[in-house]
Amino acid sequence: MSAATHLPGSCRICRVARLVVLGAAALVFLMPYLWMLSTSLKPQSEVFASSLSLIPDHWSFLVNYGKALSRVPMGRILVNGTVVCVTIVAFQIVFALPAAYALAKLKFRGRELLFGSVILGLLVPIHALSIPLYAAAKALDLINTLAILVIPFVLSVFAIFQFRQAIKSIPDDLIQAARMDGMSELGICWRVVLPNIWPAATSFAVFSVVAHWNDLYWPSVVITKTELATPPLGLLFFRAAEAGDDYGALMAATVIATLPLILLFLFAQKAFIEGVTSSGLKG
Amino acid sequence: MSAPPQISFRSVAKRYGATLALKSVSLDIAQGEFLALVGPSGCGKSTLLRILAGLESLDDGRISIAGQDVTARRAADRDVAMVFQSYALYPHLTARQNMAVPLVMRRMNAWQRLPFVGPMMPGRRAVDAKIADKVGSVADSLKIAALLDRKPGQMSGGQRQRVALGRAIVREPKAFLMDEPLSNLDAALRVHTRSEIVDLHRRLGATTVYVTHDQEEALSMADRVAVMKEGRLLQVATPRAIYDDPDHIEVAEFIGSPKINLAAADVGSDGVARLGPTVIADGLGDFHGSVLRVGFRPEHGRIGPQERPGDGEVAVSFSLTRLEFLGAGAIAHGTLATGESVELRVGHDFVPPADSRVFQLVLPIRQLMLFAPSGDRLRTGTSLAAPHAAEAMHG
Repeated sequence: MSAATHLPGSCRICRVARLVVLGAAALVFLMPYLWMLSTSLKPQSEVFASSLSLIPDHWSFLVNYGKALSRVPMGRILVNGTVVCVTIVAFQIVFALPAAYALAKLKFRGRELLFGSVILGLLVPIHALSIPLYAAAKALDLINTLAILVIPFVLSVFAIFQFRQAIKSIPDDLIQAARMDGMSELGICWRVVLPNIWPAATSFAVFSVVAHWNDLYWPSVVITKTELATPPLGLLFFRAAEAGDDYGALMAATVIATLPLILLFLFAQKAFIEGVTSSGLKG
Repeated sequence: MSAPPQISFRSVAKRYGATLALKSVSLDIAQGEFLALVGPSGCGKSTLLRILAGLESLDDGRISIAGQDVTARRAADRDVAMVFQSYALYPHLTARQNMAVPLVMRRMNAWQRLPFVGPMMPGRRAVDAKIADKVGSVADSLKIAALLDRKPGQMSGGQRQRVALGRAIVREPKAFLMDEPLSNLDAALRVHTRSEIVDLHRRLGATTVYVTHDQEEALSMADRVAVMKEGRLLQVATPRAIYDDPDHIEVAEFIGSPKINLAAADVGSDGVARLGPTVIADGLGDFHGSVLRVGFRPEHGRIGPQERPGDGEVAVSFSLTRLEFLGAGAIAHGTLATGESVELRVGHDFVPPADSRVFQLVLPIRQLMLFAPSGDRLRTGTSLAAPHAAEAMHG
């Protein structure tokens, strides 16, 4: 709201005070990341120095980042993470959207029961399934492939749940108008429903990408080759290769691994707000 | 009607759980006719329209459009267009794109509709040009050409309504279905749009089924009005016949504003019905002992201190409680000697004398309508043989 600055009783000092408090809180939350950034720029000797300093005395940017990029195939690892995350999100939306549409807008026998079992699916953690999934992957000879990083996650119960809630807010008249205009049910899904739940789809995509980019558990179960690693697993391999004490280089690798997520988030945040303000479903 | 009906309902029934939303509705609508479905909320008029559109299933009966049985067909395959109360425009598309959707879905094949690769498909360019032409000419005729690049969120209610009409028109459907299309507009715009829709219907000559809860809208727009109540058709007739010669007390009460006045009339052992002391009908021996209802429209009575009943007229005592001045005329609120409160239209010049609030209300007997206790219209009473019954034959 643009009117926020004109709220009654909001004096200049109050606004400044508010900014200071918010800024301080932001700094607290940013601290670990800043520390990581700082460490990635320090030479080995300064990392363990007793004095706390964010700015390194001697910059060793090239040394640390050079190690991070050369000891493990960092480019390959970032590509792996991107391919895996994009494929997962694409499949999740392709599978969840029609399911959520059916659960939200179509009337059929057993719909509530089906939705109940979807909710139940939310409660099952990946760890409970990892042994049977591993056994299946082994049987299908999918261990050490990128495919097995994707397959267990293509059907997201959470996406179905979130999309259903969003689709519920689309007026029935709009769906019926689309039917009268000659669209099939699948056509309605892609041409009418998806553009109108774009904010929900975007926020889901952010959640999903963050979760799978950062996932260490499942990749560590099914991947043993460095060239197939995703970023968190790559960091693990990197630490193992470096005997785990070159923290400057490790932090440099960590910065590289997290940078795409930060960029994605900054980009998606903008899309997010645009999505919310331009959807204009009301009226 | 000798020509086959454009739309035909045969014993259509619909149940929601235990409640019957439609009870065996049969109705024929002629090619080019403008039929208004009117009734109080919950009477089943919208359900009937949605069943015709194919948006609701029916439990019994058959529906045909242009001579073809469409009972089992999907909404998309019935070739009818619908205008919704909420407009139901696609919020993410511009007015131009909204109007083009029905044509894109019908004239392009699945390959041509694909995003990215569709525009490169053979024949797509020609179809695009034809669609743009059609949308442009319809937009011109609705005077919305300037709005074509706006999204629904950037338009007023009236503008959205026109775009919604445009989306229905571009298709040249077999019938237009309109579900309270004016209800979301403000009063002034509603009256204006009303005449625009009537003009549009004249110009296109397309069969139109128009659902409304506003009896005035139904009377002023339609060729024929179908009055519904609790899932049944009470009467289907021209607006004039519905107003002048209702078949049922519910129709008489629903149509007309101010509402029809109703008074009790006792039937004596002689088969004569009286309004107060005055005989208004005879030959009603079957209703001996029961109380009938006498209805008369607010504009059919004369009041004044000097009024005396002439030939074929009946007088009852009326005491005025309030005069509601409306400009061109006024409405006199008061009660009859028998206790019923009534409303009468009086002229602009009517000024009640200061000393008296009690008048003679003079009613022409041929304007009185007699209703049986069941609510059915009684046309048997000899004095009440309605002279305009002939023009009111419905169907």
